[in-house]
Amino acid sequence: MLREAEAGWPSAVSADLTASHVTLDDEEIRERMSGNLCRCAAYANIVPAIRQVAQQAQEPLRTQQVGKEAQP
Amino acid sequence: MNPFRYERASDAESAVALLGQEPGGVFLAGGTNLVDHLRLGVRQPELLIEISHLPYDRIEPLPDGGVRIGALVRNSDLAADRTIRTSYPLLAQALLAGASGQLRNLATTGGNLLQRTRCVYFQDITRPCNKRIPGSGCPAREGYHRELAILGASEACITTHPSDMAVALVALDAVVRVLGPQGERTIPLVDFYRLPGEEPQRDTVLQHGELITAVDLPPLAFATRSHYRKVRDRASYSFALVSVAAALDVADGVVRDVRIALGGVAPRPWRATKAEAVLRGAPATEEVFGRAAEAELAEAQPLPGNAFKVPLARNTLVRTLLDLTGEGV
Repeated sequence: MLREAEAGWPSAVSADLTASHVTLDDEEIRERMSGNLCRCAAYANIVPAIRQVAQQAQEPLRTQQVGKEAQP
Repeated sequence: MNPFRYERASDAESAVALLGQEPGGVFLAGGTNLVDHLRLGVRQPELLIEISHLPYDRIEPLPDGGVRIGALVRNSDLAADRTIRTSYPLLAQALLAGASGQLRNLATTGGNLLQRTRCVYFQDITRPCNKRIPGSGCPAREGYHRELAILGASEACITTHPSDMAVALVALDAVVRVLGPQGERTIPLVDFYRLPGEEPQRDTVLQHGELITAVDLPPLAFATRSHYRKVRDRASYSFALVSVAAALDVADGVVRDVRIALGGVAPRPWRATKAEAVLRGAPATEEVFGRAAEAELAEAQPLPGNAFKVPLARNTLVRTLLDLTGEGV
């Protein structure tokens, strides 16, 4: 699901079908987890948990870039 | 679950030949509807012929500016395709409004067209159903019919067609390409689905042994201004009560051209030719949109449990057209 969002795949709640970047807000997360075999897919604490994972997934990239800049 | 034989077709011609020899056989692609039916006992085929690996998984431009969608293109890949999202947004929206991500990853274009009704009596083998067992009767008219048809039904069957994708494709004048024992033929999608009449067991005009290989979309420049709006009981993962697929071409406040199909209201995706006729050449106003919707629904025959669909369909169509006339849509 995170990779689909990264690739810019829209969902039923995406306003702009042709946007190259998807911002995973709560509405997007709920729709993209909808129908998951585990029915607790978008219960209260799961949405912020996914948002956190999505943010962390981007962080190593940033750290890497910062690291590169710091190298001589 | 009944035992069945399973064969993997080596190519399309042998798949067609195999099925031609086995009256109790069916093709298996994504299996998202068929496997449910096997488990429920709704269908008891003698033979499953696997076709999901055949080379019909491409989305290709056509010389006339249209697009050919291979029958085995997955719903998720079709919805994500750049050309579809840009040139036919109503189709991408219809796909994304259907089922769930997991199902869309498996479901194919051809299989989506051939999915069966979700009428509760069709899916419950302890109840009669003329579509499942011809002549056994239909409890829906006197029973539970909230989701069922207000247009195009018959005494024998009042089912609705469940596909979202097919509603958009009917609006786009899609053409189905079919391979059969006698070779290839093409069928406009609007003629592909039958109304139930006296033979509700036959959803389409396909003959036994025919294999869908592709769906062709003709070019439609103003489809860039199109929308699929679905009304359902839940915000997600639910079939349509009513849906509208529409493309609208307005210049100087006048409707130059329009394509409309309705879902959730009839045994097949319902091309709204009467509404289109009212709209062509008329001012693009809410009053005209309302008259167009009312013209289409004038022959609706609602039942007590689904009469709400008549105003719902009217208002959903008006809203969709208004959105398409607005700025920035």
